[in-house]
Amino acid sequence: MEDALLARARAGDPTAERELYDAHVDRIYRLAFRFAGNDELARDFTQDAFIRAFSRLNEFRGDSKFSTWLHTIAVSVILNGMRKVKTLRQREASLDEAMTLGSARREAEPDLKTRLAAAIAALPEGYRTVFLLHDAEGYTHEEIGEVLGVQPGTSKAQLSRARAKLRDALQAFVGEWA
Amino acid sequence: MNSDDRFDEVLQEAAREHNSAPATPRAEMWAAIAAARGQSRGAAAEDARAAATERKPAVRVLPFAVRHRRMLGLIAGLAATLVIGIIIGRQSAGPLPAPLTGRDIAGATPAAASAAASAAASSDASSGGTGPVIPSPIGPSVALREPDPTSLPEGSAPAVRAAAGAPAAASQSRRSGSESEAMTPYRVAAMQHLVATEALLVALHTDARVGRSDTTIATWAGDLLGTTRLLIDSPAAKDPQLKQLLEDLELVLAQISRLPGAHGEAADLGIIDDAVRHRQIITRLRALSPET
Repeated sequence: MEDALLARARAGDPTAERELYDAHVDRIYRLAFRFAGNDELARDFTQDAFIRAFSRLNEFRGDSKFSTWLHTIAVSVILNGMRKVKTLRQREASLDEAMTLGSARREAEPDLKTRLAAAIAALPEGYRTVFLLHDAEGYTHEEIGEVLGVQPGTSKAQLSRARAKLRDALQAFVGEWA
Repeated sequence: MNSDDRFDEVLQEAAREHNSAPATPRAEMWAAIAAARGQSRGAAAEDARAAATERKPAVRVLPFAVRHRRMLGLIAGLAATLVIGIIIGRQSAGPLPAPLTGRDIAGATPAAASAAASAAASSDASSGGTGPVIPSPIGPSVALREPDPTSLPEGSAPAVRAAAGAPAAASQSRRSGSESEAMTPYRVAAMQHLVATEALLVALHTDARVGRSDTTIATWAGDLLGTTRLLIDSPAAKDPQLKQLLEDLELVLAQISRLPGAHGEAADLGIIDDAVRHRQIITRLRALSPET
């Protein structure tokens, strides 16, 4: 079924492309949003992932599932996009910091959820990627291995380290789950 | 359950809530993807044509992310190009070449001069004249007719027939050459428009099939409708096949752009989609668009 669809899409049939898009867009958009945290960036990443996938469809040889191949492209687009965004945000943050110097005020103590979000954002990229793919999106270590081009064991190790870092970052809230 | 297990559980719950996505904006993203794909196909077709004629094409780089507003920008740009093209075309074309006179014809060979004049006279007298009327340099009351080679007297020398026929043929050839050059921008605009319209109709067809609704398509169709009408009034519509297709597109796009609310009722969508299929519009679009 999907093979026939792919053959039509390779031949340049826009209807087949649309059917492939419909079948996979929800998961790709959700993944993009999970990393980006806002709609506009998530849209950009999703669109770019599909445009790239369709234009490279001839390179897909069927060694893996189409969804895995598509997710590999999507993760690559998302991570590259987020690197650019992060650089931009760091510049903006430095500017804001410089402008508010001297008027520092005590922030209210963030709750667990807010602190956790900040801790996830502060994770190194590799840890964060594995953590979000596994714990948020429900990928298996085998799927993560295929998408990221690493061994499943590497994925397990990175997840374990990511959780350890998060545990350290959230020591103050230890009583809430113990 | 120990503290670590409980922590992992809390962590997974929190991770699932972390940046939880809203509903997927499918149609809007598809519109941008379809537009980018259409452009990409158009560029590929142009490159193929350029390679066939051993010309090096300019490299086209797609933007990082093509959003819906860029699609609207493209359509607006297309329409503006078309309008500018029409204005430039009208101004630069100038008046048609001056009609040929009897002297022009006679000038081809000395022997032809008298033959051409007498041929014109006899043509006028005998058959009422078949060639186009040529204003006489003598005065408005006297007019010569450009001799038609077929109307020359029996037994006229080949040189006379050639002298009579050659200027007309040369003039016609010159005109068709310059017309062909003038048509090029319109043809390019028409092809780009067909690609964009095909993307819209495919999106509509898919949405109609699953009964999905979206306001973007009506706006998109409205923009394409304006360009379609401009093209119908442009020299591109001299091609009867293209003209027929543009007129059918005008009707369909007008229907889509007037759908109430989002896509309107599913029944309306179905009727429009049936009309598109009945007239084989997508097939005809693909037959004329650059990707084929």
